[in-house]
Amino acid sequence: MKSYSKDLIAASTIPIVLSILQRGDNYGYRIIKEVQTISGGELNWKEGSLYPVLAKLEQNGLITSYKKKENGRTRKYYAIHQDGIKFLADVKNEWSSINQILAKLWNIQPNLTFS
Amino acid sequence: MEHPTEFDLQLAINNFIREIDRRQVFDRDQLDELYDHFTEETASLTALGLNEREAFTVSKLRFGEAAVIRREYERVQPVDGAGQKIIFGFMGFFMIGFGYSLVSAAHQLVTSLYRRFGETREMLFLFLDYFLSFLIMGGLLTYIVYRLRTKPYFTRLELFAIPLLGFFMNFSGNRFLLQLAVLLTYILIYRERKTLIPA
Repeated sequence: MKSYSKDLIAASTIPIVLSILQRGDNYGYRIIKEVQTISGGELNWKEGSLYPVLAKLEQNGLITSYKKKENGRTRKYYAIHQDGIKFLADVKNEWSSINQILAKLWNIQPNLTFS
Repeated sequence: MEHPTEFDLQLAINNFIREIDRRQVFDRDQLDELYDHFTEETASLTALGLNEREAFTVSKLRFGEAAVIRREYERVQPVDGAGQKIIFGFMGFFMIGFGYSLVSAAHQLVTSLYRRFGETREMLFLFLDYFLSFLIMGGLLTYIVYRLRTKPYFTRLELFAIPLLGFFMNFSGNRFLLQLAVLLTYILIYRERKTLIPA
């Protein structure tokens, strides 16, 4: 299993969370599990760290939350807001630029494509 | 198979969440969300064959240290911890003052009813006075119940307003029912502050 630096994890958490929410509304535990699945188990956050991030994103108006009843319990679901979509688009451009700069410096083929 | 009395999973989850929310600043939604997280995680681990104690231990490890998570939350939602302590100090002080006021107000009420019995006009004013007090009390309690169900901690305005209200009620005459409203409000605030996560 790869080990990522704290700084890289901190920098990528918000884009990752917003990207998952752009795919569809989701709740905390399921977001964590999706990150683990997508990263093939390589990106293992401390799970509790996600919730303050979600609270911060909600405070900043990038995501919204609502309650939904499921299997007899009420879950807090998160949805990406229009401001979040715009923010994510900006972040994608930044990451893409950085990726290209590093690729040039390291003489590797940039491989960051968006669907 | 573990004996159910040996390990209480819900209690363990509640205790861990309380450790994270040591300053009791989370709202109900946040507490429910963390509880839901642990419930789902432990359920998935027990489905894999772990007992409840093991499942909880693994969940806790995956979740991270309570102190670290607490600090991360506090960066997002800073709390005026000193202010919270001051207000509860004020509440204790006013409750002692209320005890004294309660006795004198009850005495005054009984005396005035005894003297004024039969004087319809004065009784009407007395009734209106207390009716108004009931309205204020009802409004205040409704507000507090609604307020604490959404966020069980005080805003800066409330940190200022609640001691002021207590001061006013304790040292401004003998409005028995209003003072009772303040007392009930304080009790309610104190009880709600200790709110646990529902099973």
